[in-house]
Amino acid sequence: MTTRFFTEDSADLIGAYALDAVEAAEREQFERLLESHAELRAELDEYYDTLSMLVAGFEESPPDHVWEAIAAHIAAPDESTNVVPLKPRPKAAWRDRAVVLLGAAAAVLALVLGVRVVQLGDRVAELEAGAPDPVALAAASALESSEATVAVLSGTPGSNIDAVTIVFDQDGIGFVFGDTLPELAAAETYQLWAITGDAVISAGVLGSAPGIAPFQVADGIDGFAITVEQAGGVVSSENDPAAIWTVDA
Amino acid sequence: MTNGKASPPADRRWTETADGDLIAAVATRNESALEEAYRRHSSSVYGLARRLLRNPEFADEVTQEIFVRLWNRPERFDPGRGTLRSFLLADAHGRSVDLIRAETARRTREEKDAVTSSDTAPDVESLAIAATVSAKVRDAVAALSEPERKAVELAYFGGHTYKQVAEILGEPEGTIKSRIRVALKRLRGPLTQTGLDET
Repeated sequence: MTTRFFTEDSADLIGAYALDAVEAAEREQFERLLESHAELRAELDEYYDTLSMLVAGFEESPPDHVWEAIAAHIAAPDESTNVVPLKPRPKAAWRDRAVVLLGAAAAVLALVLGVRVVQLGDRVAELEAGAPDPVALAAASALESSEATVAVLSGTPGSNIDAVTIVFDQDGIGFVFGDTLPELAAAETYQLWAITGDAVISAGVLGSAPGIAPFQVADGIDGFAITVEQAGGVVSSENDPAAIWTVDA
Repeated sequence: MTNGKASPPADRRWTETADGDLIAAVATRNESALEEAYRRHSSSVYGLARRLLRNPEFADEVTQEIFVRLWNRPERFDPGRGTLRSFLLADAHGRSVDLIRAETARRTREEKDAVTSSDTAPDVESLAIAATVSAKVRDAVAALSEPERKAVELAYFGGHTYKQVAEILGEPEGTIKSRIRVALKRLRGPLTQTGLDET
């Protein structure tokens, strides 16, 4: 007999959940149930599809100013990646430290890089063969682009990180392959930082168990760093980088 | 699709592109791909928000928010789990319900008078009558029993939680929960048969 991990009573909540007719606490509880039960997710997808049919024909064109507002928003710096200028902090220290760290590891990197080229090729194949995740496919495409730069951040001593790959183009649009990072406690998060000239800016709060994440930062990237912060991320980090890469290393 | 007039105009590069590929392009920060997604689906999103909220300014706000969220978090859409349209409509419904509840709470505080479903929620039948596909939707709704129809109406179009629906209808919460689930299962067949799933 198959073990049921949920009761019919708790599964019955799925209809109300699809209608957004549950309270916040029940919503969170049910979403945990959804995470572990593919059959419930499939049923939910059917209900969303049903509801989209129910309201078919209600289409009404929005006023032009709605698109104008969206266009203005996306033309502005990307809020999703939390791109905010940081308060002045010892960026030079990061960079000096990076030079020292990477300089000391140069001999090792020379050997490892050859291996990583092969690994990246494998990664593209792996991403393209996986589930049809639009972000993964876009990231795979970026990895294959001849115009993209691939940065491999090296873990700093004591960080328990081997390496993290970032691919980005000349406009500062890129992807971080955070799925190779060790999972943190729920109260912590990885945060990606971009070093551009004299500024260190947050390029995204990656979560405690990151996946592949897109980001956009200003062009003229001089380096990237990843720190471990409290959940939610910070505007200005006081922590040492857990992984780092610089152009001039 | 009956999108009618929409801004921005169609970009030929994307008009034949599947929704999944379009969102993959959005993930690379391609603005014209988002424009195409907006051209295809903004009328559905806005239309639903407009009907639910009965307030054009709130509907503007919801539509803007839904597409900005698509731009910021394209990975939330999984083409393996359904269409982009149903994903965006689910998002729009959730946000609209948040606004309905916030507005109801505000009015309750201001007027010291709880707002009942009758003055906030459009009903399924009146929406169906107004819709261009009204006959198909009416047929599908006719497959529901009156108690099922009322429960879906109050929850989906009225923005009530199932517990509030139970209170309004004077029935046990568990009964309403099951009834909504059964109603959604029952609606699916007739709606699919009418070809509305290809909308």
